[in-house]
Amino acid sequence: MKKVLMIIPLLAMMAACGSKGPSEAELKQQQQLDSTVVEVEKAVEAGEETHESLKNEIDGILNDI
Amino acid sequence: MKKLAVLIAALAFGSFFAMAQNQGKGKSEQSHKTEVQKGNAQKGNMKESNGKNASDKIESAQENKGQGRPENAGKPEDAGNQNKQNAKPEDKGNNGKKLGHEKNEPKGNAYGRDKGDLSGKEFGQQRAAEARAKAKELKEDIQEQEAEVEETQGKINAAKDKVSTQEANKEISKEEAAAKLDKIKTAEDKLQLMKDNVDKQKQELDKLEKLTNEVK
Repeated sequence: MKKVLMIIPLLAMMAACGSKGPSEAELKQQQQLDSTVVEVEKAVEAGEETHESLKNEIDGILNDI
Repeated sequence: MKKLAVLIAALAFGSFFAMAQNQGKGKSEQSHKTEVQKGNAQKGNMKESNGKNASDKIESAQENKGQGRPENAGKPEDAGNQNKQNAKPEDKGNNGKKLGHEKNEPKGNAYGRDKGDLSGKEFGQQRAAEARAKAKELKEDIQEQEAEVEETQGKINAAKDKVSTQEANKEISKEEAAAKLDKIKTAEDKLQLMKDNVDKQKQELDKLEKLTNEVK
């Protein structure tokens, strides 16, 4: 009985270590995903600005004709 | 005696579980904060180039990729030094919103928002789902741009036809027609820049879509 009681805390510790949240690999993947989202969002926003600017320039040229 | 042992076991379990959860949370928050700061710093630089002419913008956007970080923006040490209480996810989300987003979305993007009661895996899945939603949103933006490129192409073709008709009907001289066609050529060059710009955005989006497909 004593042995069983001694094993319980050990099992508890093992369980706690097992439920440590995301693993290193998962964490790395999440970080990569986050940074890619920020990067792509930024690229598309910049692209949209460029697009609008070019569109206005073309419209201006065509209106002169 | 037995009850005491069970109680100790329960306490040990509880404390280790709480510690383990906190460790995991701290890691992801810290790394996330670094990413958000990086993004904001880069975004800030992008806004500075607003006044330039369009063809310059493409170049400056490329430059910003490599240079756009203030010295104190994305240092992991800064994030690491912060007290856990100060580093609440809600605060970080609001910060990101203030610095980086001008649109009136409720809370900006969800990256860095409170993890709440979600486990690490669930949180990761949620983030992946949010990334997919963001990719979809950006894809729609790009599709709108493609439609506008088509529309502009149509306008240029119509302008060419108009000049040809006017020249044929002797409404304008050959010199006038040549000058107009020259202007149309300039417009066509800018249209090509528009197309390149859309292609570049598509490539960026492909990267994100690939990555979101990898994360299950």
